[in-house]
Amino acid sequence: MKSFIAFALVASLCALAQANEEGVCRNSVVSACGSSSFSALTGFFTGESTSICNARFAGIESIEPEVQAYINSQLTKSYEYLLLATHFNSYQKNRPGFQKLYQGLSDRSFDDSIDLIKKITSRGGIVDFNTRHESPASVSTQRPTLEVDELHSLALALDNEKQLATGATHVHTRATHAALRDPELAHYLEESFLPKQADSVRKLSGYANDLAKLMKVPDPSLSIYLFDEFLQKQ
Amino acid sequence: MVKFIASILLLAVVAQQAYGDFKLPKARKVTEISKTSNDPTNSVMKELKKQNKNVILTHANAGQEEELKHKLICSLEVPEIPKAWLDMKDACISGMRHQIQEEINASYQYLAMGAYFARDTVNRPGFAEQFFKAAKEEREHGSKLVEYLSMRGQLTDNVSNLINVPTVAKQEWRDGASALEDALELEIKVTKSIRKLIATCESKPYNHYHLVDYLTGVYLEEQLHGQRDLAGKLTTLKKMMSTHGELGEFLFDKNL
Repeated sequence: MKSFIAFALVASLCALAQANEEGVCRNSVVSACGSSSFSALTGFFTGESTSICNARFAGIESIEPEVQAYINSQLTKSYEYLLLATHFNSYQKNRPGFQKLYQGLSDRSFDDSIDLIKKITSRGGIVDFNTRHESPASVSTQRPTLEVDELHSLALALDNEKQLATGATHVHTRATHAALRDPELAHYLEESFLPKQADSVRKLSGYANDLAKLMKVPDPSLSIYLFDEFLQKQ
Repeated sequence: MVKFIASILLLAVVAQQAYGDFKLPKARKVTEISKTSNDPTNSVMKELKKQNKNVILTHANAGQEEELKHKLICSLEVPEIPKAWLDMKDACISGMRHQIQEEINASYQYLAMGAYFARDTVNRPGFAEQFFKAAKEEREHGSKLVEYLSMRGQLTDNVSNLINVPTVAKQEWRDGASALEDALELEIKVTKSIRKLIATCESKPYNHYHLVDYLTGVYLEEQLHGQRDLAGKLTTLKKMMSTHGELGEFLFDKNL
């Protein structure tokens, strides 16, 4: 009787081990190839997101929703900047320098979004454009009033850039501190995002402070005109 | 005597503190700003608004007092200029605004398609690139229409609500052919919407000749070529799919 129990235990342990190993691509191929029905094989490789033969490893589970939130933030900000550029492109504003600045930021955010999409999908992640995961990496879709004057727009942009930098930093924190770490994604952020964002935050804070100083005159119209001309040449 | 020295010392300390207080406000302000800037909701904006409304520049230098009395003026007056050149009519303007949103929606839908075909388990990089490119183009179309409105003297107000961040109707596809089919449908929808916009803008009593010419010559031109391109690709792919299935799609993707 005792030996029977021991046998049963060993058998069940083996079964358990086998079940665990089924999470490996190779095993699934073996079982698919052995199966008589053709659909078992095709079912595996027709791009179902449940496929075991995927590219997911390291900390992708915990970082995926954060990157998704961050992609949505970049897209939201991209359109916000586009409208800010539009505002300064009206004949009443007529500030081509400011327009150029914000159009540049808009294009950058859009291109960065595509870059991030490529990155997260290369790691076996997916992108959900509809659900907005609440995270420090996400931004509100409520758009602030963009019909603002020149100095305010710089302040708005500076805040935006800081928000985006904070978002990337948050994703990086998750990549380096979650239970399962993800050095690959952390490195990607360090290389492709954080330095660029530090630069643009710095640039905008410089602009905001310069313009604020130049505007400390009774009639700042000439200061703004000259500053806009300066921005055009950047 | 000791008392006297002590009281002098005390005086000196008090005086120094007072001087310190005197010098401090500026520095304190800076720290205040940096403290609040952790707050994600437009802290610098708020700070500036406050300054704009009621802060008379506070320097302690007596020599500059005169200059410092005025407020920091941030918004300049918009001067009166002739308005007769603003000749776009409301129906056409709102049609344009609608079309801009349509283009952005299409861009989003293409982004979702690109993201799907870039997935590891889908792995169709040719399709993905094609759709990312299309997403960029649609966004470009939208922003060119926005620029057109600005050129015609529009968008001096109501800019903030011009574009809403859309959601996408679909995020997964059965195969490449079904995505190409959806892309073609999307282009058909955009083309129809442009035709409708043209009809609105050239209708009596006021014909927006220049805009209609632009929409016909540039936008319809691109739409029609785009549709033909997609239709050709879809046909070629479907021919191969009927007998060669996955292999057909695999090869097709590599040549996109």
